[in-house]
Amino acid sequence: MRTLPLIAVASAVALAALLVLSAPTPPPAQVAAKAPAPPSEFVITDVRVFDGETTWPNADVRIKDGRITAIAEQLEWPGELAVVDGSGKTLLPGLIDAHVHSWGDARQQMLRFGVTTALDMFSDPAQLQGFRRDRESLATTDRADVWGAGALVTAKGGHGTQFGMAVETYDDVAQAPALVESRIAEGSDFIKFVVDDGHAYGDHHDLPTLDAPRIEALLAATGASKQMAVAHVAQVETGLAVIRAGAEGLVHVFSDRLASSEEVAVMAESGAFVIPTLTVISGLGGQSIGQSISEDADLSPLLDAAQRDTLRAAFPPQFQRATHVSNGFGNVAALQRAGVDILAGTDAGNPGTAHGASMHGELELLVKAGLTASEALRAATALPAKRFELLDRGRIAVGHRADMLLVDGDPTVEIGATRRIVTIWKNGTPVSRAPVAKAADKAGPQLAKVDSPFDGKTMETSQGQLWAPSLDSIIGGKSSAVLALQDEGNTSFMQVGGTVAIGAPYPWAGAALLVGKPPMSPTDASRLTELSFRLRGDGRKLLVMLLTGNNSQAPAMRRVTSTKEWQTHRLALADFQGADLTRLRAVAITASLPAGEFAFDLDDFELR
Amino acid sequence: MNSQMMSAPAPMMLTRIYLREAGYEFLRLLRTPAFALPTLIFPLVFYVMFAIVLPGRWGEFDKSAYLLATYGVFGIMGPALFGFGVGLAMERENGLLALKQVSPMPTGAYFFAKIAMSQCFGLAVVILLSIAGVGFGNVEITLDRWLLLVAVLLLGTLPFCALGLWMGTLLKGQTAIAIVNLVYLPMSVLSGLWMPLFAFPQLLQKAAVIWPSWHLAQLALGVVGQVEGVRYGLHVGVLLVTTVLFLSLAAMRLRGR
Repeated sequence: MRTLPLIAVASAVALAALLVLSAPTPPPAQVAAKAPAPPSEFVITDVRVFDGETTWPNADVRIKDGRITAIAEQLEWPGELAVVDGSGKTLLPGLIDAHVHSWGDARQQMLRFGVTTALDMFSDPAQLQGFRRDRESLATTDRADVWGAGALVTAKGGHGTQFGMAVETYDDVAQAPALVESRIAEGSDFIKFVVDDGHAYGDHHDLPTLDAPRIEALLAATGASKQMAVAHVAQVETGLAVIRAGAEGLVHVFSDRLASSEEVAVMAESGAFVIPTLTVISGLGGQSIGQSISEDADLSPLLDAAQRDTLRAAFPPQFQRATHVSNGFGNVAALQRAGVDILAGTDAGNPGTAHGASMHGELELLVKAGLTASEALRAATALPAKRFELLDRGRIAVGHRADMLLVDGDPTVEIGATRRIVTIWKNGTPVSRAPVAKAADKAGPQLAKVDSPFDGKTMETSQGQLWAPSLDSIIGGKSSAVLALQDEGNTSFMQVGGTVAIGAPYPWAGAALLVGKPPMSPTDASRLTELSFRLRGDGRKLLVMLLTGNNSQAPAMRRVTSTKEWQTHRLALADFQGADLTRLRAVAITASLPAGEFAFDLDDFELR
Repeated sequence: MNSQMMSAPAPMMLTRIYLREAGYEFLRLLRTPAFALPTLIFPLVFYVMFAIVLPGRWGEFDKSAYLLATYGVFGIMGPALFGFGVGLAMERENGLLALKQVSPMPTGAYFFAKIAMSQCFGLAVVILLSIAGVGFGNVEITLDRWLLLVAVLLLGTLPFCALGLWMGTLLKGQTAIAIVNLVYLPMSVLSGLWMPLFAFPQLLQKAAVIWPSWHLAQLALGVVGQVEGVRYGLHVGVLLVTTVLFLSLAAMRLRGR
């Protein structure tokens, strides 16, 4: 049949045509990668400039290779230079948050909201070398630069030791020089120490803290090593005491009472600075601005899920006292009037805050406390740069780093304009502001009630989930734990025993229930309300942790105390601050500091 | 062909003949472990290894869902290429074909049997993969999407039946096994069935369009939702034309004898 060859030829031709049409289109990622690199030299024209100290109503600013090369009312430049039209807008130096605690992706979050530099007042000292390397470079980056205190200096059992991070404590005056040397060796840019006995939060709070001889010895040692020393205080008395002894500044405003005019005068004469951290003072006074930040029309679209979680969180009720607000704001007003340098810092990382976004809230609170908008802007730019000797930042001036913020409107008159960010430059390059989409943001499958009576032969729940040892070895720790089923008379229970060893920043050891299938996958526990269990132990305080959200999120915790006799504990899931119950991965009951051996028994565990 | 000289049997008998031939073909294949086992087991074993024991993501692809679609394609290709390619070649060589041709069995029954068997084994592989994927690999797929996937894959055996048929008319006996493997395995890899093509050099990525398995894989990946913007019409068109092309080439060879 002759038609067959015809069919064969026709289909061959048709196939060839279709194949040409089928050429796969390049995936969008490749197309995006071909976008042109931002220009290394450009001019911002006709823009109002707040240069850190004063305002230029209309100026041109020229940037080259990451630095500001010229600023004048009228500049001339070669025609082919890229131009950014600044009319109707204001150019500010990149904001400097003078009090943060940085971990995880804090630095990226900060930069997205216009904070280009931050002063870290206590976090993992292992980060310090990286901080130094990054801030000395002018390379394009996606994160803020940080100067850090590294580990803080505090008394044994004092404020700073409750976070589970292993901290070398300052117990004897003879330690002072060696302590300062260790901090310098680790890379601390300044020394932060703590004088806080907890009384500002209520009389029943009693924390060990540094006494006068140790404070003097420490300040002598920092003076000898030419290191700046700043102090965490909560009370007027201690604030004045450390300033008189020679500390350069306070990293919180005292809020236990209003300072007298004599006391304010002492502060003014000393030349010390104060970082009020009104954001957390408000939180401690029950007036957290976390909610208003997360609902702000200009800030909200850029917040990621983790930031919404921390903004929603609050300080434990037993720390809150309404007078913190009136005292704190009143003291700031008085100190400002007396000429004390006030620096803007959020204490971000704490409940009710979000890195970067909270800075705009802090500026608003400073204005509420009595600073003018320009004074608040100066407190977030030129002033911290001056006091901490951040030589090439905090100002729009020739030779300074091109870390800048272009906002819509005039923040020197209306401080809220800082939130209307048009462009952020870091090291002379525009910064992308979209939060990185995290793949694991989906809620998990619905979790039905879980119960674990430990009555069978295995340490499994009635729904088939497993208990497993939970150890800090995943972050490099050395603690150990062993789980075993024990029989006693008619009942059986799970015995958890082991050793908490110092090794990781947050030591822990205990037992974890992996509620998802496969283990560690997220589940939606939002319909459940309570967790309960029977506990018997050696009197230790244990941590009940909910591991939620994505893998790097810190667990939400509550403390329970184990007793020598069996006791039933019931904890409402809603009380676990910061937990994302739509993505619950595991529940853990663990022992933490103090280091040493531990043992506790668990029975009749239920999540319902 | 000789069957043209036969008077057409009654319809009832015809159906019985078709089904019988299919049944015997099935038995024969089942009794050929060298065919049955690799066809059913290899895709499943590889899937378990690469999608379940080593789960995760490749960029924006979810491994267990991606590989369910692509190993599904891999799985249906085998029976079609080997059933026709090797089957026909061997039957030509050992004289079984000639025997069937002189028998009263209509030619249609011969092809129906082979196609039906490809589909049968193909379906078995897809079901095994689906059990593994949904049961152990956390693949989330609605019932109607899964049925669509099965339909796409089963219809997709036809181009490979045609390709196998054409190869079967060209190759002889034992060499057929080697040659069919030489086509089957590289084509599968180069179509992105074992891992996504973004891992490959640009040239190979662009050349993927020449493989019918690449087109079928795109259809399958679109159905399971791993790839956006699939041009269903284009890929179906390519597969259809491929089928016609190889069928006509094979028919030319068979008639020419």
